[in-house]
Amino acid sequence: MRVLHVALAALIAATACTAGGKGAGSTAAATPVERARDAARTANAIANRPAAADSILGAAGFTRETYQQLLYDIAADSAMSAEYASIKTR
Amino acid sequence: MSRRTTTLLLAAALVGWSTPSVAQLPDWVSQLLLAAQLPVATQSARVDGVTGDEIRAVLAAMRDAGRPAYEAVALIDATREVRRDHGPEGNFGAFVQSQLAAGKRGQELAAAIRQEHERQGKGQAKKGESREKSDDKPGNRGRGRPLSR
Repeated sequence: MRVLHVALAALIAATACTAGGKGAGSTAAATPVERARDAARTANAIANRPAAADSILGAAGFTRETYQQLLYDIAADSAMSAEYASIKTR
Repeated sequence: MSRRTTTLLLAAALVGWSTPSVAQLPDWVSQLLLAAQLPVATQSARVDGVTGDEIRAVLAAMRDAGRPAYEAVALIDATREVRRDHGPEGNFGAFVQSQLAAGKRGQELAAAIRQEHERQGKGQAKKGESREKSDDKPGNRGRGRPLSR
């Protein structure tokens, strides 16, 4: 029983760590194309709810500055731009 | 009569509620929404034949000058326009850098780029030349060359 509890705790911790790394701003493990997708989805969300821009950026793991730097990175790369443009709705 | 007035008021409230109040947005949000068009602008520019090198030169100059991403949108659009009308420009990044150093920004900078191309009397780009140099070629896609600083 005790072993089961320890295993469950380890599983929960592992899941939490994985979820924590999913924020778009946590780009260490994301591929460039995934970063472009995250940025486009974030842009769409802000366009739909501009009044919530700050919280949308924060929930995605960005600051205003890091998001703009990512936009520069994407714009400079043809594959990232193509992916971004295919997802960006308006 | 009062019923009609109530209906009109309700309709007006509904329209007001469903219409985004863009005019009341803080400047930084409007600027962020414009900045979010930057990758779309560069993608369109590539499709129109602006080379990856030209795009990176403009972006690097803007970044090095500490300019926000939304300002680069007008510049990329101007680059796309002059590239289409006048052909490729040699040492384009250096020209943009010099204009930024001279304090030109936004539309003024875009106008300077157009004027420079007109002054140099560039001819039409040779057909196919732009696509040849573009980094959108299948072999070059996804390489993600970093901005040269």
